[in-house]
Amino acid sequence: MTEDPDLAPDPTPDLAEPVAGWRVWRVHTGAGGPEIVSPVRPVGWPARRRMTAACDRGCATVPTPTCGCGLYALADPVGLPPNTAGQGRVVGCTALWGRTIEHTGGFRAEHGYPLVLLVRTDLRSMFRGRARLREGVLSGSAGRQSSGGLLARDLASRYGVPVGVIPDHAALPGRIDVPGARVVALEATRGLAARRAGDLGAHERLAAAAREVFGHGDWFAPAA
Amino acid sequence: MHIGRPVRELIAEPVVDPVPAVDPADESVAVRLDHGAFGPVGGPDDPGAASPARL
Ligand SMILES: [Zn+2]
Repeated sequence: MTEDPDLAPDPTPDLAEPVAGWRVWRVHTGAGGPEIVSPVRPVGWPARRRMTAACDRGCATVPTPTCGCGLYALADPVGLPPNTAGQGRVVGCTALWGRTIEHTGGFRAEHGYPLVLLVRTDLRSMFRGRARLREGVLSGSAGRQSSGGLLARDLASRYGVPVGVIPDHAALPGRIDVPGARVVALEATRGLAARRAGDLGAHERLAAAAREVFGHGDWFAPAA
Repeated sequence: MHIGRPVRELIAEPVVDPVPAVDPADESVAVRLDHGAFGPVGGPDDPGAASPARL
């Protein structure tokens, strides 16, 4: 497997911040709580540890331009597959870093970790009956809201990232406000240090930007 | 997920680590952002909520 010399990276870093892209995960719930999992293979993204890509074809470094390996994300959420963030899936903006290949519509990268996750309220159906989410004591609209919120809270707690609940009718993947989504990705990246330090304003800016694009819902943030 | 054709290769080394610290103390206290303030997950519709103290 050879690399195109025109695409070979300079050894010095090109960026001092991660690339931000949009992608989808499935959600599994195990003993440790909800886990985000690749939608194309049964590989979980670990909580509070970076995800690192491996190559089935044996690339010594991942990703390479001539192979399809690496962690994938789209530059804009408009290209996300149908039913995104429904049917047991979450959508999110992920940080990508390390060796990164920019494509015309997205990225492949060596390392990744979510910057922000969005849970649709209809994910509640997937968790119905699970004592962990206390469905048995919730009902009606209050139950809907709290169940989506509890999953969002559990993801926020486990992964240490902000998680928003978006309405069932949120325009995903169609009719996405692309400039608005770029603001979300920019805020998710640029506000990382401030959010990590517990800056409420940084959390609010990210939540406000996401609500502009995806609709209003509860928003959960990990404690600083 | 169709990301198109490769354009360029680069190396990103974030100054701020995108991965949060592993701190067990963090894992029980995610909070809800609510109208400009943090509150606990619980509200009147969350019977499992912890105390209503706000941060
Ligand atoms: Zn490969």
